[in-house]
Amino acid sequence: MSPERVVVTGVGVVTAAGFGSEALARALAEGVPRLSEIDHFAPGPGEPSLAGQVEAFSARDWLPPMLVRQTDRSTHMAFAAARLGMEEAGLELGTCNPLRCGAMIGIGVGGMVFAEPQLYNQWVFGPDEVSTYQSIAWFYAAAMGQLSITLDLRGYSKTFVADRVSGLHALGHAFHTVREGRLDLCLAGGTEAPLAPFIYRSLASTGWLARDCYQPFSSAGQGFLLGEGAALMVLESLTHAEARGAPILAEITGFGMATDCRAMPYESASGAVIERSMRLALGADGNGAARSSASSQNGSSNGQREAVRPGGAAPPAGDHHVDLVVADGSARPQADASEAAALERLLGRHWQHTKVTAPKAIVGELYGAGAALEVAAAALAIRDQTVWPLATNGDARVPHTTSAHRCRVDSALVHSAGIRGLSSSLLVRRFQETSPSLEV
Amino acid sequence: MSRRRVVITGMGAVSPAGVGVPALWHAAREGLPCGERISKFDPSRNGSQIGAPVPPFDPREHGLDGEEVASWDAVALYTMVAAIEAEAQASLAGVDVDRCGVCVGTAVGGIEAMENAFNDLVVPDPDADEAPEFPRLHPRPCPDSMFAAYSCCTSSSLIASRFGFGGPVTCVSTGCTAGVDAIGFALETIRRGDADVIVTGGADATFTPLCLTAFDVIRAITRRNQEPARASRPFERERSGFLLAEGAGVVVLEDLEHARGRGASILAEVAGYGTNCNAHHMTGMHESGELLAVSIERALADAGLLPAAITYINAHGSSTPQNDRAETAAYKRVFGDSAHCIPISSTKSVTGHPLGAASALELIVSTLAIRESFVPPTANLFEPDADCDLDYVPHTGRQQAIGFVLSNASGFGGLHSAVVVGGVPQ
Repeated sequence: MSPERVVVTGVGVVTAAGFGSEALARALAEGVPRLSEIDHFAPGPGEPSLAGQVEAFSARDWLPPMLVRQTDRSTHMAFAAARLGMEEAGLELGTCNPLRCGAMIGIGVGGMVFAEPQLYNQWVFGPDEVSTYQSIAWFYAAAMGQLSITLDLRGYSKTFVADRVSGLHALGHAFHTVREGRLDLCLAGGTEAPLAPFIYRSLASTGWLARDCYQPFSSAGQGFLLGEGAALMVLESLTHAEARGAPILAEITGFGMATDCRAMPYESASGAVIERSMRLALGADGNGAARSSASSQNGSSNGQREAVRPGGAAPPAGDHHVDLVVADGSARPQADASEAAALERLLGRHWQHTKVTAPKAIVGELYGAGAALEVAAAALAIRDQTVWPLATNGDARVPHTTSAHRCRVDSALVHSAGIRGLSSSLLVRRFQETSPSLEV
Repeated sequence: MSRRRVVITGMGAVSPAGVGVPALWHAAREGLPCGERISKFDPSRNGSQIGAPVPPFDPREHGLDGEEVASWDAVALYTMVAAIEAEAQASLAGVDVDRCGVCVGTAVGGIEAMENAFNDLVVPDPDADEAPEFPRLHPRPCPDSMFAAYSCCTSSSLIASRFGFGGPVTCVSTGCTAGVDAIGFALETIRRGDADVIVTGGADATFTPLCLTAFDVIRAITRRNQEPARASRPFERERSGFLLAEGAGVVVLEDLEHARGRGASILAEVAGYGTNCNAHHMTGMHESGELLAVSIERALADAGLLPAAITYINAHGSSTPQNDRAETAAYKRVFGDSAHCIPISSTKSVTGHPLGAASALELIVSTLAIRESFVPPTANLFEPDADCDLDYVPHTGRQQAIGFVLSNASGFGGLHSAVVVGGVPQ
């Protein structure tokens, strides 16, 4: 059976920029951070007080009241994103085969908004005071499970917990699962509600958080600021989308995973590893889905940390072109330098013509949902044929624009990095009837 | 181009039966049930006060540096010990490390590290008679090792670090199906050509006060406190919930041609994987077993096999009233009258239910059942439940040739997953 093409038919997002894809697109275009002071708890000494917060969010608008009590805020936001995405996609699930519809969710820290009071109850009062719903509200697959029940999704569904790359792993696996015919349709992306005092303290302890200001690709980079939110996209096989006349916003054509196994826990992947994950997403011809099984030409298992190790089927450095890069941009100088170096090697003579953006600047780092939010930004850039600015203080050392403008956006590469050298990339392309590469 | 075939070239286990695959298999084939009063912390305020913990061991006797593991949660320790055993068997020196990946599933990750850190930091409010929505903390920082210890993907990442792997590394966290779901991810990834080797499986370390309470308060776990070693009794008339357990099962999955090319010893073939959701309830299961049956049918279809090819079933058999009944119904749906002719047993009768580790340990038991032509029994099956009227192999195992094995699992969130394993490809 030949592989299906995988298209995005709806983008559902809930972030500090508001509700829905239009709100996100406007905020990305404006390039003004939407972060605000945390006021529902007191951040500890040295912890940033600014975060991306979803304002005026009422869980009862999105879930039945009984379910609200049994679920974490991350699940509430996932429901909102799911409904917004489905609405945009014009999706009536009742007309689809539920056994071929699924959910793939990325989440990083679990349902800690729900769990922190329960941890308190267990410790201070004892077992009798712990909520009946602790086991189903905190655990990582909660959003996936609840969505599947409420929406009657009986197909292949999974939850990925892989730090800040969780959302990309979920989207990447959704891409493969639809492409290989095990699903017609998938709600894919991520959710995260990390703005609870203890988990916030834990994240701060990694050394990744900025003191007060997010400045990616700058010598003044301090790290990133956190945000809460959810981003779920409706992914469908082209066959299924065309059969129901769905709007096609973009196409996902490639996905890559690579690991820098020598990275320490809170260290980012090297430029060579980042480059490898990007090349895997771009495929042999730069258009994506090339599933070459050729192994690396460099058989050495202890290559130099910064040495280029091209995959066997990849073209030489400099032949790839992407119109937009939605970067990880964690704003830690070493990590930024590695990412920029990877991009420069990957794009070669095209490097100066691309545009790098980082939606974290607008809505914060959504952690397990962050990479999914970044894919949403890529899809919207393609939908709107607009490149997003990089909100900076002026000294960002990557090609970028400081104001949004319409131009041809055929391709957007999304890259995300995580704990212990995890690196993942995903390629989003403008949908064209005739695919530039149809490989088997 | 025909689809790549995927085989098992190494296995490792840490279980309530002890460290190592031999200890697990010995307990499973002899039907020696584990179970004891929880002693790690005081469980006396909980309804369920028993479990099947991993017996204490010295990490240094299993290839680990004592200092290195000091900051790890127990889940990472169990995973690494099992991974070291599995890799020693697979002997992966010389492979192209960029084409090697890791995916270890877990239900609760490093929850103990998180819970301990929380308890250390939290400031109880003497005037509050219920928990504040956002508990106050002492102003000191969290130990910086805690977040890594808590993170679900750390076990996978540590394996990648130890063996120098640069390929796909991730973690599937789907509760009680996490192990088989990670294995399914690995199978698909290798078939697609994105990796040649993936170290996969499942692990969980669940003995924390909050974990015990969370399962206890929904009556999912057995309260047979006076007879802990008889508390896990799948398919038995007096079963009353699962026995909380912990451990890690790790297998090395590899492309068949890659394994043959390097002369690896091949243990078994992972022939198929299937999964779906029941969309019914987060913890409840419909007694018809209709959607559970779908996962089994999908695994069979993926393996290209008819139901008649299955000669042994390693059940989820968690010892909850509803699961064992629904599972029996599901087997009848898939296998029809022939369901009565297939020996079926639950490893959880011996190990209890180690959540994400369960389905990985059960794949290992299934593999050994094939290799040793031995059907392990279901322990504690004194009086079968009238609703569980299939051949659940009570007490004593049987010597018999086994072709393909079905091993299935179900989990919170309405997940059902299944894997089919067969003998070494000729």
